Amino acid sequence: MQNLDKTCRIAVCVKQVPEIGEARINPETGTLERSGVPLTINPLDVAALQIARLIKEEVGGEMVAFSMGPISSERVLRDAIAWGCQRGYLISDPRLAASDTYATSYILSKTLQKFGPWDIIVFGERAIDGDTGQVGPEVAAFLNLPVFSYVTEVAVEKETFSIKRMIERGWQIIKVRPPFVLTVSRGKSVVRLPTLKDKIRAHEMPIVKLDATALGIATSRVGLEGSPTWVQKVEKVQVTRKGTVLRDQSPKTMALAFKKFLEERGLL
Amino acid sequence: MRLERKILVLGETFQGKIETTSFEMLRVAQDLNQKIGGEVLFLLGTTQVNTEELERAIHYGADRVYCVVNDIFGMLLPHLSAKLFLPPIKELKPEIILGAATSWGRTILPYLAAKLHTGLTADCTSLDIDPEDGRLVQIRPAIGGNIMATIKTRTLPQMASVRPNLFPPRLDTSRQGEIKILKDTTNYNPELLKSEIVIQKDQKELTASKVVVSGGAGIKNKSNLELLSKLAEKLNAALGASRKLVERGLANYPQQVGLSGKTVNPTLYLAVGISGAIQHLAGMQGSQWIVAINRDPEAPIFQIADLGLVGDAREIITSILEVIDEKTHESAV
Ligand SMILES: Cc1cc2nc3c(=O)[nH]c(=O)nc-3n(C[C@H](O)[C@H](O)[C@H](O)COP(=O)(O)OP(=O)(O)OC[C@H]3O[C@@H](n4cnc5c(N)ncnc54)[C@H](O)[C@@H]3O)c2cc1C
Repeated sequence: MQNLDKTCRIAVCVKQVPEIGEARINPETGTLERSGVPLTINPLDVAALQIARLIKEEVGGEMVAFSMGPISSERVLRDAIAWGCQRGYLISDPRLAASDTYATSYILSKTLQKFGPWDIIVFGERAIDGDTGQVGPEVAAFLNLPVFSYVTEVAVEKETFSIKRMIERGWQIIKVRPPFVLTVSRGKSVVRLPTLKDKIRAHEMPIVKLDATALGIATSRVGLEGSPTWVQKVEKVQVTRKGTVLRDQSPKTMALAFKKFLEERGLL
Repeated sequence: MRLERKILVLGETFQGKIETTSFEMLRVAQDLNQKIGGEVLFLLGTTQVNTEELERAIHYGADRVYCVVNDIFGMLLPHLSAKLFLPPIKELKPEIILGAATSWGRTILPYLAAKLHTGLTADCTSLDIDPEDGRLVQIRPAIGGNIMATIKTRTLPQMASVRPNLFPPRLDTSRQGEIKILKDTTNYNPELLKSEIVIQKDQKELTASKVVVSGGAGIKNKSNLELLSKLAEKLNAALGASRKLVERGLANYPQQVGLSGKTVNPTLYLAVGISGAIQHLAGMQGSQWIVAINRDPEAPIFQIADLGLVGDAREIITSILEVIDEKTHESAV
């Protein structure tokens, strides 16, 4: 970072998602049907906001929220403000709808660039609807920044940041100076709920709205048409297995049934 | 003349060894290649050349192996590795790029996709070639596992990450192939001060285990959990958990199976005291066999179980431990 003692500029990207279990799919476009579905802030984005806020409290500076989505996403920006952001920007334009991760990352990187430079850009590791986890690393690539994914903790030591991330075999701890991009997984840190004062501030804050024109984005590069990937079809998953259920029997009988089950499948 | 069609597998290494998931990807690439009659390329980065290790890639399905050598690969930092992979990828011009959906793959693939200005489909569970247009057909679960989406890519290369544990590697030691070493001595890491890996030895990796034993809120205390761990040990299984168990502090977040945790596809998934909420199912319904222990006969988990045991978790596990021990005695004789 240029000089940490002055200000650390942190951007947090948040997304509005349908409450899982309630999601419906548009059979024609294969995209999410949003009308009538209860919406909420992506749970891992809350973890991202927590980490961003901890950093801000440690080093000082500003924290700004960005979201791309329908107008209703204004609500998650207000959530982000209540969780510690000073301002919120909403990228909303029907021409951007149905953008895939490449197009979304392109739009976000253009927006972040316009309002940057940033010392730290924070994402939730993935959104529970699309569930790809690709937007954070793609934005990092567009902005030519290092990316650290699956982050659960960040500690500040003078001008360096100690980043703890999950890997399959355990943990990785990286010491690095900004700028960088983080994608945050649910960590151990206790969720600090917004106070009433935070909520009132969030309610009163104006949200700045941006469209493709304002961002100087060629619409041929985004939306359904401009996305490199498209959904050809979707099928509902039917999960039912014709299993055997044993009840009203002794633990010993059940244990033997389990043992037999394992043996028949070569698992013992 | 037919254009040469190349499928590139991005290899993952850990402390000089190629990860098993990379061999799984080679098998997926080979299966696809049978339909397009091209070549399977394997691109990996290491700090030091180990020819034996590179030959293994050939035995597992690579026609050509490209190995970039640079100290940076020891640091497990996808954005830096990506910089070294870009030049060979641009030169090789593969039609398809595959990588495993591991913490490393799920970071480096999107990074590369953006740099290559192409699409990427995450966490595919099945891939195919469309006989009509020759394009890659990418199938992945979406919306918390409730639907399967078929995705295609307009641009090239077509990129996909594939979930681990779905495609067992295929070994053929008679296979022949070519190995090319690409040295790159650029120092890419002025900004980086330190990278340290802490291996959690006492914990088997969830996504790499053939058997996963998971506990939920029905595991009410430490002593039940100890029993469950004992069972996991007996079955050579990794210990997983539902979110409630994690929230109660009886398990760690890396053990969480489900929508906001890990996805596992083991041969056997044993769910103990787990109700079977959709968010939990999203992470384990791809398991080959599912066994559930729950005292509530109406628990939704029984709907997807191949074997359901209705009763108290503690009593049943205790019995299982006894019964399995009996077997050990017999075979020891
Ligand atoms: C956005 C979001 C993301 C989520 N992500 C995840 C996730 O990744 N993973 C996840 O697991 N959950 C996740 N959840 C939570 C999920 O909805 C459930 O709350 C959770 O899975 C329930 O855990 P459980 O089955 O252990 O507990 P419960 O639902 O409380 O079930 C406990 C079960 O134990 C049984 N039981 C109790 N005592 C005994 C006994 N003595 N012997 C045998 N059985 C007993 C009960 O009959 C019951 O069926 C998520 C929720 C949301 C909203």
